Amino acid sequence: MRDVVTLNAKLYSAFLVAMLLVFTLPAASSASTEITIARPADSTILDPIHGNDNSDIWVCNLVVQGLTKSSADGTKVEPELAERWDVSPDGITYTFYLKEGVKFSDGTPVTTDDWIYSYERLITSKESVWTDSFSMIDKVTATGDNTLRFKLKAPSPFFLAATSMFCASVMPKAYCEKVGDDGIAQNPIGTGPFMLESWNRGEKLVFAKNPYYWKEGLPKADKIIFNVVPDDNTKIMQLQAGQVDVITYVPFNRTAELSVGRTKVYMPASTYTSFISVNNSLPELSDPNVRKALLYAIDRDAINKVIYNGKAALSTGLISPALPHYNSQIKPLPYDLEKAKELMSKSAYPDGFQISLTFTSGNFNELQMAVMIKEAWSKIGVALKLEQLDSATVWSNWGGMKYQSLLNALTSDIADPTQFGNIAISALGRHCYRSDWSGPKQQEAEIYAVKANSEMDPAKRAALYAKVQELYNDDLPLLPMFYVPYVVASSKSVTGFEQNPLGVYNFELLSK
Amino acid sequence: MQQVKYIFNRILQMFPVLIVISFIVFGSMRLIPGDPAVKMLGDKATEETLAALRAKMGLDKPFLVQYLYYLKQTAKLDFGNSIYLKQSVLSLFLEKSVVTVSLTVLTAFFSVLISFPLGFYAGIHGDGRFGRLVSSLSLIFTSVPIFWLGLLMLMLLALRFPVFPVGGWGTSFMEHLHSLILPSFVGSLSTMTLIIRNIQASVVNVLKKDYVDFAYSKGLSARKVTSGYIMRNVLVSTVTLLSIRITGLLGGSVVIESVFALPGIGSLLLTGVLSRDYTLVQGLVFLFGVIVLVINLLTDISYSFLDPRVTLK
Repeated sequence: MRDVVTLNAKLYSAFLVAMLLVFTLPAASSASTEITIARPADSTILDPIHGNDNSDIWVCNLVVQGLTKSSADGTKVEPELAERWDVSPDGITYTFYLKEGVKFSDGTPVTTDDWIYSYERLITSKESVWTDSFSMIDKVTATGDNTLRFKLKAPSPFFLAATSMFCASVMPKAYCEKVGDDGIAQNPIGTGPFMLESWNRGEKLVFAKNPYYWKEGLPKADKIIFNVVPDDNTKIMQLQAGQVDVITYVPFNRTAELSVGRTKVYMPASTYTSFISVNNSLPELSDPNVRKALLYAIDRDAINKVIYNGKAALSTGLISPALPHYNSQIKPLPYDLEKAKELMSKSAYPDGFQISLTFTSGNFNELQMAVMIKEAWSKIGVALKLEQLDSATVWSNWGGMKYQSLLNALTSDIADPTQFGNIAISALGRHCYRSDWSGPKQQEAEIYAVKANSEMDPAKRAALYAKVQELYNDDLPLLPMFYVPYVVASSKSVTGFEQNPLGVYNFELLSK
Repeated sequence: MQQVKYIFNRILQMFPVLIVISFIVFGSMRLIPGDPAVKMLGDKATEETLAALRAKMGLDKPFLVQYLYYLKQTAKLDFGNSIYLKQSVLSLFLEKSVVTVSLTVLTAFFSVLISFPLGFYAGIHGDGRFGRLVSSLSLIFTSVPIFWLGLLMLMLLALRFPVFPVGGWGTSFMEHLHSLILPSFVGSLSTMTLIIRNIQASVVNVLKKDYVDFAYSKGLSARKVTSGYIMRNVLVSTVTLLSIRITGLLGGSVVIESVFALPGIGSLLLTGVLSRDYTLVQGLVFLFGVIVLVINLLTDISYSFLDPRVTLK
């Protein structure tokens, strides 16, 4: 063997060990209460009137507040920055009496000018998707230093619910005019318990306690940090290792292991409703018998067990139990294969047909569901072709009615059934929500839904929506699947995590 | 002088390539279905709101008009603002490239640090048990999915034995380094085994050459023969391999960054594609292209320094 120089083995291993030691120094801990939350995606637009993604909407109310807020169970409207309000007998004029001494997080006092500016910005925006929810407003004026008067074009039963939406929040006029839309999107200022401290895109969003917050002694936490952790497994390990305090969007199949030991699981009720959109303009799917047969053929309890660990509830339509006027009298259609076959034989397609099912690629739950549905429908002669596309394509295909059937879900952004009543039933709404539903039952439902938009008597309004839901469930313009709760997990020591059914966070009491 | 001329020519040749890249990216973003306006405004948007936003973003103009405008701005190094994040694409790129570039450099560092001594050892001691071990390990590490390996490492070295953080990026320089160790190590495994095999083969090959015998018979010391003859001959192919792997690592950063929750360019690009953020994707891919071209150029230039037999023309 010839003599060849190789590295000095001892020196080399000493170097490796030294490097390992340097990099394993423990991290320093801090004394203030910081709550770190891991979520799969970062926020994008924090302007309350332009954001529309849940990652934007849910955090909005940490920073900004409106006249009213939605109650913790999502079914009532409670005072927030308005102490109380009067409604004129004709339902046209609302007078809000504002809390005194409220300041923005930059220390400037809130004036009626700021309120009028904020509402006008919302109402006149050409790019805000929320403007429609406020189309009933005719004029906003100040009638004193602390009173605001809203004149409506016509009485509206959901105007109050609309004032509790995140987008109807007050922001300082001077600041907003200075920084413009893009500036607000990156750093909104409001009266909420927290204010934005820093934002590293795609990494973390940090909120610090608002020193001028009007509720004495609140919020409890000094800082709320939202980290972006795209991978579910990494996120769960971070919680288990104590690196983060709370994780959101926890997969259902991991809830059992996170319910024991140092972690706990919450499942706040949500308005999230999953369903299968079926294109009613296709000849096969235009027949209510076929649509009913398709739903009867699916064993939803089995899917619930496999995908949601049994934690979801069978759905009867778009209005979820977490919204007012949910009709609890309607029972979800059970799994009944015989009934499904019978209905198919009554239809124009007794031998079945072939359609495609579109869903989002990379979503394991949807894939599982799609496979189970394919299996179920094959028993009534419906051959299903699975089509996986990325989410942007799924959305645009759905919006343009370029699909046959599609795994879909919706949440409500207002504590009122009006959003669904209008867009999913009325022929004026976009086709995609209605799945091109038509026929006598649709026409009847539309009459009730339109009436409900101006019916001021809550009992009569509830009766109208009850009827709408009955007709909807009779004709099944789409196949309702599940009402799904939010899933959040945290360390045992964390208290005060609140999320209302609309998804909005209330972290005033959040602590550890 | 010849070298300067060569480099100048190579840089000139980059421009047509970059124009082709820009066209492909620009075109393909518009070919795939999905509308950024729909994605931004969500499912509740009306046709009017969508049209207003499209007009504001200039997306209602003809394809070629949009492309030429984009080309003009790109030539001025103005990549515009991300339509989703409302921030300058260039500043986002610079901010996030710190993560991705550190990750890549550290990955390359680990690969070289570990593979050189092992490869040399294996080359000199022939194709024995060690050689077979390296061959099988390299087969394993190149075929095992990297996200799985990453998760295993996290379970072992972050959760069971909390030596490293479970992903994340940290706030200080030391924390950044600390959180980069595991992802770079995982990322380096496949490259490492490739380089070990390559060095081993080259060393075996070079040792058989007459000039090595000649060097020894001239009475040169073992150190001189190793560094001047064996090492230099091994380096050229290793640098080629490494440069190919580095450009691959830049592209593959999406997976590693997602598993280890690192806020780098890979994650940013993925968000951009999924949200149809045209300006962001166009800018990032273009800048990625520039980096790859520069790495290729540097590799080619390095040959002439590593091996005098190579001349740049």
